[in-house]
Amino acid sequence: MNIIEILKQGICNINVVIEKEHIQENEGLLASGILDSYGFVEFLGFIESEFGITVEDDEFTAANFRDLTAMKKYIEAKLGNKK
Amino acid sequence: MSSEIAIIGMSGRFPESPNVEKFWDNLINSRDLIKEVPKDRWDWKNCFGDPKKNENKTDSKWGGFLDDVKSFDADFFRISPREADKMDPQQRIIMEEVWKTIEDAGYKPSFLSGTKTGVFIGASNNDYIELLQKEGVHQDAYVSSGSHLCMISNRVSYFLNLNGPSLVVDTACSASLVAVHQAVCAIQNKECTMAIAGGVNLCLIPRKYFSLSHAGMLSPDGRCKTFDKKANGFVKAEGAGIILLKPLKKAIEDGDHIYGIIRGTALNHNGFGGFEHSLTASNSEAQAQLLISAYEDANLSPDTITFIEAHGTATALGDPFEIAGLKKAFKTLYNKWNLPEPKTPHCAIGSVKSNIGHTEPAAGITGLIKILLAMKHKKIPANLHINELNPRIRLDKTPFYIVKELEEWKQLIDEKGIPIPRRAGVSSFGFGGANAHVVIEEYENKQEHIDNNKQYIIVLSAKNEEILKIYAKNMVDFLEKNKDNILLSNIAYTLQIGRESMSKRLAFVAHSINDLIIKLNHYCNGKYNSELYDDEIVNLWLSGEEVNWDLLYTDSNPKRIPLPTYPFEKKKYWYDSSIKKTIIQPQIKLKTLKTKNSP
Repeated sequence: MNIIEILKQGICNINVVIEKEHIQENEGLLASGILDSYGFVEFLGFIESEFGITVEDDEFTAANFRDLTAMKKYIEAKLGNKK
Repeated sequence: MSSEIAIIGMSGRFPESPNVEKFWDNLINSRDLIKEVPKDRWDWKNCFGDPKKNENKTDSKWGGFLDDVKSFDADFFRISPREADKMDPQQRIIMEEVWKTIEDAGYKPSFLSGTKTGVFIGASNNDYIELLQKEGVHQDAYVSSGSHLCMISNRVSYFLNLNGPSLVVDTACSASLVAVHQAVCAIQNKECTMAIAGGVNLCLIPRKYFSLSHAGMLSPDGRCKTFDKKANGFVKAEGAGIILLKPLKKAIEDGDHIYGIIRGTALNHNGFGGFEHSLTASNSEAQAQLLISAYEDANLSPDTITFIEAHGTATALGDPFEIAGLKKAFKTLYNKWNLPEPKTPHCAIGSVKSNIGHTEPAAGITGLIKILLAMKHKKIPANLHINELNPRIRLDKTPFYIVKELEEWKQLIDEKGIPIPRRAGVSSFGFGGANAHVVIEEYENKQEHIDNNKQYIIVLSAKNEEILKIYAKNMVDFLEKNKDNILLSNIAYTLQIGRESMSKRLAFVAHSINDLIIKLNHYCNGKYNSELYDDEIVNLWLSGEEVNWDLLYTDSNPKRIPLPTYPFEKKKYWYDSSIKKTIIQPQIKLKTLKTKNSP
């Protein structure tokens, strides 16, 4: 499973004007303006349903959601714990 | 907290709410007070557009606006029309609100003269100077004193001759709550004996709308949908609020009317730990630490806190971050107090931003005044615009619930069956990362005595007859609403010792509150004749003499109570007129003189 690709697709579903290749893996989604606050909440919902995980309040931190690379690491850890 | 601080006076004006009574009326009736930008601010059509595609455009045409920002009673404050024209209306509004706050506490403002009273005001926007510059208004000496933010508090200290610290705090949206914290600390550190604290915000130019809406922070539909799934940003708003503080012990000694007690306060900063490492991003961890500090300072069991007035800026991420911080703080506090997890939610969460928008530097004092009003009326107003809770806000197994309808604010009862005073907290977070939280407890004012005498001398005065009639009418309206809950002796006493004696005077003897209402109505209708109420002291005071009123109360102990305050004259002072006055008028005068003196 290519987590980064899935995440990029999720972003493109929300922000329909952005192209996948313009989303950088080490860029903040809010700071870059790719997603607004409202879009980010939608994106979290996408992550939860797509990967079958629940993002707890205390996991929703800069360390886990700073950029796509951090998110990938976080999702992998969650999926690993599930197994 | 080293010593508790009492709040003994309050006053404020908010969108479509010229005073706190009207503000409360609007809140309990769940009114949304946001409207289109009024024409006397700017024409919103000229700058309406997509902020991402065009420079100097905003997709918000909304705001919470004060009814009148141009009027001021310059004569009352001994300020010349030329100077008043150049004064930031935020200074003018604060001068009036401070006066009203002191009177609300039942004190003559001159009573504070020469005392170590501090003035702490939160303010960060300075739109008026930008307007003056844009319009090319002559930059005379009055522009400096009229536009500098520090003058908002310094001018109050100057006018009232106060010798405590006098400063303006700018931490953006948390400024007025930071000001309250500083006022509390200054009293505790003995830098001042009393303190005036609060904040002010006006929206006079569209410029700030451009960058805020470009950043997606302003709600394009003009609804502040705090905690709702569809929250899409805040709405800018105007407001001003002031409270008067003194040590609780002293307030009780002095027999003051107490609105509430400040039990704890805390400040902190997000550091760079905010989400996405952005300066403006929320940080639930820092917010949690802030609340833990505030409730540790208050030393109150967290299960006795029954209302939180949240910052609640209505952004889809900011709201859940705030709630996450709140949850984390209370979980820690519950553990520290060895309390079991709450079985049912008992702490209401509200945000006044859903009614009036975001008063930015005045937001904290706005929330604090909402809490004081809620304590007074024992009701918690509803949050507006919640159709579906933001999915990131999860309140199961927490003490919290979101208030969706006006509700009774019930008192908790301890295990011995003794009622616990209502307790609440208010949060304010600055967009630069500076946070503040204040913990308030209700205070039950005891009405110990009854009216011993059958009659009391009522006095009322103003600068002129027109204002005195408005004052008398306001008093009638107030008495009609409150006559069952107040004593004539307290009314008489407060008007005698808690109001300045001015040149136009009205005085008579009243035998009951109904009699007082009838006589005030007579005055309003032009039927008053002082000869009808012949009384030695009445005549003495009417002749312009000062009376030592305390001598009338040697065998009783009346109290200062909140009564209507001085109704300031509404005269327009704005920069347009100053251009004409400063540049054109002197030339005409010179010309006239020349002609007259010419042979």
